Amino acid sequence: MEAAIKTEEFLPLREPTFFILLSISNQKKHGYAILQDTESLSGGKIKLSNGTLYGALTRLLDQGLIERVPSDEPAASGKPRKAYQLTRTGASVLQAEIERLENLVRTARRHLPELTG
Amino acid sequence: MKSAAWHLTRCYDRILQLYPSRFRLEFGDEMRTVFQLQLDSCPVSSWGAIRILWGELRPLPGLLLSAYWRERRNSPMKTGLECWFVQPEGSWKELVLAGLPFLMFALPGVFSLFPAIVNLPLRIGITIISLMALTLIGVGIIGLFVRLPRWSLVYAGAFLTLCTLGGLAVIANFGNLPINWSALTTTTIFLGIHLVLQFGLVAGIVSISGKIPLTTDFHNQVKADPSLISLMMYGGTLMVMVANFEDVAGVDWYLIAAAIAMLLGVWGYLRTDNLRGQLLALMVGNTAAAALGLAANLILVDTNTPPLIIGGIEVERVIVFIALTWLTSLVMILLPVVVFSSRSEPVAT
Repeated sequence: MEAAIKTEEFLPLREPTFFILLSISNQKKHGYAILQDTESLSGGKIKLSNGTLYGALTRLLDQGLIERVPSDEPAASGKPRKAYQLTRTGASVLQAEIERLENLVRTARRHLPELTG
Repeated sequence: MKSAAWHLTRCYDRILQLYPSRFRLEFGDEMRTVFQLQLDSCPVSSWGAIRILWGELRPLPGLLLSAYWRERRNSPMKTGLECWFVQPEGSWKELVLAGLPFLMFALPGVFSLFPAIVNLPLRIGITIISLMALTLIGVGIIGLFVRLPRWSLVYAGAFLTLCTLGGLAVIANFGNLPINWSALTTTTIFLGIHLVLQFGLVAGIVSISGKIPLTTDFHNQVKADPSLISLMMYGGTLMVMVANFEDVAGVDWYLIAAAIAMLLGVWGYLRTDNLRGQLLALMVGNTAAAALGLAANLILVDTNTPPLIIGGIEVERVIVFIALTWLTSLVMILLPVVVFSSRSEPVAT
């Protein structure tokens, strides 16, 4: 119950946040991969700046939706590279957002079948 | 010739410097790597690279605001002295604390610009100077109680130098020592003895600090990063630089500029995370202050004393004096790194 209430608190997600979470939903990724994913998943509509991406990642880390883990790929500088992956709460929030969006679309289709096809 | 990508990355480094220190330490390297990957993916000689930088600049004000807000909200609750005197490394609060002695150095110059302050009765002037000295001593002592963070080392160096230089001056005056053959020998001997004393004291302090619980952190930090001793000595060089402005009338603006130059040296040190950059910042700050001292003396002082003959060449005494103080300062800054680096154990990788 508590987890459900917590999940609801994060909704609705903003579009960039949604695509960031979606990008790391399957596997952990580092910053550059998330940046590229966000652009391709949004069909080129969302082009995040580096600063915006890390601002969002910091917020998501604070909220406990994602976590920072060592990456499998070493950085060019030789320093250990960091990657980001969804936490259990993050996965629940993403799932809840997808359901919310599906509900919205379902409702819209029911009310306006001729417009939505 | 440096490539455009190199220049853009340098620009981006400057942008990253604007972020709060904790955020920068945590994500700075990563953001830099991502930026470089973005540049690498750009077609060569296109506007794409500049567009990427512009894309970073556009949302920057909002991002900085939220980053500082988050930093403030997430900073752990501190109590008492820690609230004021334990600051994140590279933060502007750390700079203010470390820069206070240099600001105090500038204050006499600032006061001299206002006739109302100059004309105050002597006892008020003495009171103001005493308050300034007490503030510095007080903040320095607090630095010891909060386990000697980086900023406090400037104070430690200043006090140490004040003790060695002051002690030597007293001995020279009251003991009537024969070290007044000429400006060159006097200054060389004086500064030479001072250097030996100073480094003897520093070596002793570093050695003893490992055995006192309050200063164990400091001892370990110095072993890991000898440039901290250079920072300490930089505080000491302030006292050496003061001598360059002594007894020069109308030196106000030069004094203020020298203080700002030295303050910028500290700023460069605190905001840089590599040894070479840190030492360079301190040396540049010091050299600029010495150059301003020399300019003030050459422009403002109408000297009648005969020049010194060094190797058959006539040299103004003030040039010799300031060159010696400058060299002393550079030795004070560089020697700790040479000595302590060679003594510290190699770090296992």
